[in-house]
Amino acid sequence: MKNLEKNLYNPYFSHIYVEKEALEYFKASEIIKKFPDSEIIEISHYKDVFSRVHQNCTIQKKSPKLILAVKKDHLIYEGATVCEDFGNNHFYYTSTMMNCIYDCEYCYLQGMYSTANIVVFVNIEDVFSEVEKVLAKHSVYLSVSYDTDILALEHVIGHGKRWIEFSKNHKNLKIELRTKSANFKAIEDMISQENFILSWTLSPDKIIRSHENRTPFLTERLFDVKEAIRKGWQVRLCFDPLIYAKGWRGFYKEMIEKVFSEVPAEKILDISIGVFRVSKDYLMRMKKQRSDSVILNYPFKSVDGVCSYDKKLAQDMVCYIYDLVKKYIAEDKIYT
Amino acid sequence: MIYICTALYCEAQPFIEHMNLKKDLESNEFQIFKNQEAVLIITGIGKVKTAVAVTYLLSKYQASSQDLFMNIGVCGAQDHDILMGTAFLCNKIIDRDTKKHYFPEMLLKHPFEESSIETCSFAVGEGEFSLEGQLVDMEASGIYQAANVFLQTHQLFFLKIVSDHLSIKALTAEKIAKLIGDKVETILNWANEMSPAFMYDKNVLSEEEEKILKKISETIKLTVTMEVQLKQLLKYYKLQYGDFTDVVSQYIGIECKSKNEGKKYFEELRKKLI
Repeated sequence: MKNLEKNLYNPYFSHIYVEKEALEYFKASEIIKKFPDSEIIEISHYKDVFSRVHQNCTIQKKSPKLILAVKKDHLIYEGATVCEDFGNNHFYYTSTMMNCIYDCEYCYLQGMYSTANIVVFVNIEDVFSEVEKVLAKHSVYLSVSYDTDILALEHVIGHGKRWIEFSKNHKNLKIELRTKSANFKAIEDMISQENFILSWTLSPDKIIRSHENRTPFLTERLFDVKEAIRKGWQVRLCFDPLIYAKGWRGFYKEMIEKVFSEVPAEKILDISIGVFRVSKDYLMRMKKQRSDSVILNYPFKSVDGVCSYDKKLAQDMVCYIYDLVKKYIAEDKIYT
Repeated sequence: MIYICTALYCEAQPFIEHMNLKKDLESNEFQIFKNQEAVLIITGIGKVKTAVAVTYLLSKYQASSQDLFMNIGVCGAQDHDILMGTAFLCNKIIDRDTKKHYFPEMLLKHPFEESSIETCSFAVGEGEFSLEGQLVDMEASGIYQAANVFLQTHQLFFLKIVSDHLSIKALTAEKIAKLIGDKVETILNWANEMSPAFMYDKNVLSEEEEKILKKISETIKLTVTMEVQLKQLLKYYKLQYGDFTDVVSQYIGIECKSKNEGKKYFEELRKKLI
C-alpha cells in the first residue's frame, strides 16, 4: 500500500505557492532554492490556496504543499485557556508557520484548518518587532511552535534558530518551542539559552505507531532529549495529550519507565500531563475528515464547548501518570 | 465514476468512441453520453453555459466522494514555443473578468505538462490583451466554481490540449477531434491509475450493522438523539474492540413498554459499550 501511494502521489512540497509580495523576501528565495524540482506557483494571498472550500485534509496529507506568505496581522496572540501556562504571567503564542508536517490522527489542526498544506510566513522580523513592543511593557512567555512543529522543518525553514537568536538579546522573554521531532541536529550548533525551553511531546510507541503517522519513535525523540540536555538546554517533557486506548495503563507505564531510565530526571525543567481535549467544533470537523478514527470516535463529554474523556477517566489517567512521574520528578515541577 | 465535461462535440467524440459511450436519452437539456464507468456532458462554450451544465450533470448523477471529474478541451497558448497538441494539467485558473484565482489540487503524479490557464468571456486574438495565464480558454473558471460545489478540490482535473496560438481561424472540428484523440489513451490510462486515490471513504458500520442499530433503536424506543449516541457508541466499540453483535444481541428482541424503560436499557448498553 505504501508503495502504491509513493507511485501515485507527488512528493512533499512538489508545488510551492508563493505570494507575490513574499517573493521579495530573502527567506522565500532561500526556501525555494531547496526545492529545485518543485513547481512554483505565484498567488495573490495565501488564503486563496490555504482556505479553499471543500478540501480533503486526509488526502492532502499524502502530498502536502508549501505556501510562502507575508503575515500582515495577528502577529502574536494571547495564550488559550485550554493550554498550560506553566505558572507564567503574560502567556502568548505566535504562529510563524501554520500546520504541521506530521499526520497525527488526533491533531486539533485538522479541525482548525480546512487543509493539510503548510503556510510559512517569511517575514519573521515583523513578528520580532511585535514581540518587542509587548516586551517594552512587561515580560513575556511565548510559545513559538504552536499550530505547527517548527523543529520538524528546521532544516528547510530555519525559524527555530531565528527564535533562539532573538531570545539571546531579550532576557525578559521566555520562549517555549514544542516538538515531536527528532531533529535537534538542525539546531545543535546553537548555544543553549536559559530563557529558551525545548519541549518534547512524548507518547508510547503503541500510540506513535498507530496514531502519530510520520512522527519519530520514542527512542529517537529520547535521543534528542538527551542530546539537548547534554548541550545545556532547558528541557520540558510533555505527556500530553494522553490518549485512551485498550491497555493504556500498561503502555504508558512502560513509556514513563523507559523515559526515566534514559533521561537524567534531575536535569528536566518540568513536566506537563494532560488528557486529550479539543473544542467541540474542531472535533466535529476532525471526525468528518477521519470517520474511522478510534480516538476521535470515543464518546467524549462536552463541557463548556470542550470535548474530553469523562471526568472520572480523565482523572484516572492524569493521576496514574502523575504517580508514575513523581517517583522521578519533584511534584512542584509537574503541571497538570 | 469518471465525469468528463467538454465544451464541444468534437472534443467529446474521441472519448465517446474510445469508451463506447451511449447517448443518455433521458436528458433533453444537454447531450450526455455514458457507460458503467463514465458520464460525459457536452456543455457548450462559455463560463455560464458550462457552469449550468456541470451543475446539471453532478446533481442528476449524484456525484460522490469516490468520483473524479475532468474538464477536457482544447485551448490557446501564448507562447509559440509550445507545440500544438501538448497536453497540460492546469495548476492555476484565472478568471479574467473577476480576477479571481482558483487552484486545482496537484496531489497526484501525472504524465502531462503543467500550466496556468486564463478563462476569458470571449475569443482572444494574439496580442489583443496582456494575459496572466500561459494558456487561454473560455470555460475552466466556470467549471471549477460549479464542480467545487459538489466535489472536493482533489477530485477536479483540468486537462487542456493546445490547439492554436491565439488564432482560431484555421481550427476545424476534425483538427480538434484529432488533437484530443491523440491523447485519449494517455488520459484514460492515467485516470485508471489514479482511481485508488479515491477509495478512501470508510463507513465504519456495515449495512448489516446499521440494520441492527435501527432494530435496537425501535425496540427500546430511542429518541433521535439517543439513536445518534448509540450509533457513535457502536462505531467506537467496533473500532476499539471489534464485533459488537454479542454485546447488543440481547436488546434486539427485548420487550420495552415505555420510553423510561428504554432509557434504562440505553444506559445499560452505554456502559457495556464504552
